[in-house]
Amino acid sequence: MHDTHLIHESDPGMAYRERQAWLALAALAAGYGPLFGALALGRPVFGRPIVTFLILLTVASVVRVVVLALGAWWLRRSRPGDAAQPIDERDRHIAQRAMMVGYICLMVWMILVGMVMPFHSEGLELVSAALFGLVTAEALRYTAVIAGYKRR
Amino acid sequence: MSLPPITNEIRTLRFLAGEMTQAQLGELAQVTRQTIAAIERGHYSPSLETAFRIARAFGKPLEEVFHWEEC
Repeated sequence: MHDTHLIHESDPGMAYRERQAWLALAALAAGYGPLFGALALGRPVFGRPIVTFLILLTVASVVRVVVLALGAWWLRRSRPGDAAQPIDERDRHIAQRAMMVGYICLMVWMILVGMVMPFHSEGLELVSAALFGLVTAEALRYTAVIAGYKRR
Repeated sequence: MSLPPITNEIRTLRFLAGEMTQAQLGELAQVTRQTIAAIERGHYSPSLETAFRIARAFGKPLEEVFHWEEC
C-alpha cells in the first residue's frame, strides 16, 4: 500500500467559472438592486415615472457593465493561469444545467407578465415586472452555476 | 437496485507518477485542475473520453484507474 499523503493537494479552490458567476451575481445586485428598490418605493425622482425608470435603468446598466469589466480585469490579473484555460466538459455540464434553470424561470415569469398581469396592470408596471423577471432569471442562472460547482 | 459507486485510483497513480500535480494531469487530460480534484473526490464522473485520456496519462488501462467500488 502506497502512502499517498504527499500528494494530498490543498483545496483546489474555486473554479474560474465559479468566480465569474459570483462576479456576475454581484454585478447584477449592484446594478439592479438599487433600481428595483427605487421602483418599489414608487416615488418618481425625476419628474414623470417613465423618465425616472429610464434614468435608473441606464444607471443600473452602466453600473453592471462597470462592475463586470473591473471584476473580469481583476480576475484575469489575479489568476492568469486559470483565465487562460478553456472551459472543459464539467464547466459545460454545469453551464447547461444552469441555463435550463434560468430559462424555466424566464418562461414562467414571462407567461405571468404577458398573460396574467395585463388583466390588472399596465404600462410601466408591466415593463418593470418584465425587467424583474429577466434579472431574476439571470440571477438564478448564476446561482445554479455556483451551486453546480459546490455540488460537483 | 442501485449500482455501487465508481471509484478511482487517480490520487495513488499521481503519486506513483512522480507526484504529478492535479494541474499537470489536467493539462494531459484537457480539463481544469478543479475538475481533476472533483473526479478524484468522486464528486464528478468524467466522460468516457476524459476517462480514457486520464488513463493514458498514467499509461494504464481504464479499469486500473476507474472501477466499481465492490471490485
